[in-house]
Amino acid sequence: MEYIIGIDIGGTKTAISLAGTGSDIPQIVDGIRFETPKSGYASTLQSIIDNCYKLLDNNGILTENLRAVGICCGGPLDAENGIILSPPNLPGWDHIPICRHLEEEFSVPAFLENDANACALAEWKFGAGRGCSNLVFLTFGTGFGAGFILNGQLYRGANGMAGEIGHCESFWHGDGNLYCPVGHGRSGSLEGFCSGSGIAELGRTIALQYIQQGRQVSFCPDPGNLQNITAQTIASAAYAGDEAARRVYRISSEKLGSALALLTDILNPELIIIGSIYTRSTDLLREAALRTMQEQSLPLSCSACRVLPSGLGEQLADIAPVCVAINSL
Amino acid sequence: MKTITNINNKETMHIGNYQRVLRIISGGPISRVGLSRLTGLTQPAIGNLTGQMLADGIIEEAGKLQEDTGAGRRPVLLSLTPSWGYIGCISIDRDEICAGICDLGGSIVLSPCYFPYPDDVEQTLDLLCDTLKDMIRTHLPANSRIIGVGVIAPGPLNSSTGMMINPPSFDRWNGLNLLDEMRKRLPWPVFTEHNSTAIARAELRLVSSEKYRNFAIYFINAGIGLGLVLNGEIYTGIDGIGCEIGHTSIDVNGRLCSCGNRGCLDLYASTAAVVHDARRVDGSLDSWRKIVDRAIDSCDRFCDELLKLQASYLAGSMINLDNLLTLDAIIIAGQATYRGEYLCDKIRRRISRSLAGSGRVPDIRLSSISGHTSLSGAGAVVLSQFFYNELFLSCGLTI
Repeated sequence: MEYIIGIDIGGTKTAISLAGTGSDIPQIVDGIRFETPKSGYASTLQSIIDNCYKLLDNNGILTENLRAVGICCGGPLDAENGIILSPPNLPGWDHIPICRHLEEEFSVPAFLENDANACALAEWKFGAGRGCSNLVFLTFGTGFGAGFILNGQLYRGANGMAGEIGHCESFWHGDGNLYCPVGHGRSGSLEGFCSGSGIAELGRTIALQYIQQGRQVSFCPDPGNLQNITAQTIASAAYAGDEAARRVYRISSEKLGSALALLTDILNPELIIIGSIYTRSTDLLREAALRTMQEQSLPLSCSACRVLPSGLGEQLADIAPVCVAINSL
Repeated sequence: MKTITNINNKETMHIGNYQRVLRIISGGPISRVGLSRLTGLTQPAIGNLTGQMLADGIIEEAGKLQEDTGAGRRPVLLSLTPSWGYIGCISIDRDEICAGICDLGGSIVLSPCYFPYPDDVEQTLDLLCDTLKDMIRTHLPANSRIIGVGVIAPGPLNSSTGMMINPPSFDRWNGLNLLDEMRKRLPWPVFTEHNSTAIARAELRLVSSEKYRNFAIYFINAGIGLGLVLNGEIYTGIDGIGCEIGHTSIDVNGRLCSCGNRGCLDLYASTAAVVHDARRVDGSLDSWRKIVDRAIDSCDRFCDELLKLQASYLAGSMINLDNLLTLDAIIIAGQATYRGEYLCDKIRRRISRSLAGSGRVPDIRLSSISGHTSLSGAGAVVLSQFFYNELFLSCGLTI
């Protein structure tokens, strides 16, 4: 059997997966996760290489059986030439030819793609988007980015940086304009509402407001806890019926709905797949998002477009970098 | 009739090569050596194919290469024979219907327009088809070859079935099968498409494919249409329905639109919207051209502010689109191109202010289509069927 190594380089954690390519879906054989060293790219690269060897050794796989390496990481990057440019979450990584380094080390081809594109490829080839020609993947994780499969191929845009939907301004204010968190330094941009950090920030604002009004907020009993609020703690409170928490998620889902409306009008896709927070909290987000989408888009495009959580679920993060390699082989 | 499915592999390959070589020649005069270099086919193979095309009359020898290539004879250039075939072009829009004819090279040969047109849909269709047939009979040489007819209309329009599906502000046409209706009235192959997509097709034939691999057309008239070229190909989404930008909302508490939504871009930034706003203040400003003329020639502050506002709405929409798709260019077509550099410049300024931080700004420019934009679009629909699809097989070529 042939194997592919998939590497997901994140700002806090790096994950390496080893996948066998014999069956329909790449089978994740084993994986290693470790803290991304803060000391710059050289030491990170070294620990990536060391951990790849460790993974191969632990599973008794010879490097001769390795077919390719796939890498995904946050943008900006130059996918065509395999160069990480200077992502904000990886300080010190400036024009790093990561693919060349790994190709020299393992003598196999290496391929690079940004997170959203890698996830779009994985869902298209093996997840909820199998058989589609036109689909959009929305990250809805730490940030809010889009990956596109259009006309049956990955679409990267003029400089390889397509998919910055987080930068788009939503003109739908609704309840949200009272709070207007700032994403990408611009008030009103979608990332300020449709991301883990956006939800947490919105949660802090609403919690503080409720506390000042003398109302109970289960995810933040007093102002001292404001900094501990995360999208996850708000979600748990919302599931338990907390009013403030439900309000946070309603605002976020309405903004998500207007992003969906924008995408369906402009691109008329068959499918929009939403990962991470949406996949975990579909019940909290789905209804208001779809209602807003319906209100704001043309009926024809809207009715033709399905909106689904990730089909690969928790496996997506491991399979995505592997798919980067599979798509390019 | 031949179709790709009922012929063998060798024939398929031959037809594919014939079509591919013809497509290259249609891009501009080229020598046989140049064709061989571009296609990777051997020179004898190119010789056979071009010989067949010359015999078919679809190409002609067009002089010799100007620059001296060193030793030997200067190579003979081959070019498309535009008059080999003609295309009927029909455009139906909210404020104008027109019919015309273009040749195989895509140049508009004849283009009368009708405005206003009959209220009755059947009458409109009859008028268009009768006009087209009449033009072909009286203005083209006898026995001219009609390759097909391209019919374009505002979206949403399913280009494969020809069904018009609830186009906003165009109620009378809702549910009409444009393709069937036209086929009933015309004896030639008919193809339908969403007008902005068709115009993107026409533009794609004219712009450099290396410089502009990804671009958007903003077709700005009484409504605003969007056509997209992505990865060098036309993009239409599901069922060839195409893309819409005019009904994306820019103000949820804004003006009520016939699509049921509020604050649609169409209601603020189309030429009709600007005229509507102008007339509320000054009844004499009853056309888009008057507003532009007065802003430029008389330095009228009011008209200039109206255009500035329109530019800022368009820029906001274009910035969102560019954040999504990172485009090489955003190209403006339609009525808004009248003395269009004035508006274009205002849009550019707004966009470069907002996107300056990203280090990349798409070119904002006017369409390269000269002559009648909509008719060129309708022509491009048939040309793309001819040069890329099976229509090519039924046009009497010896393939």
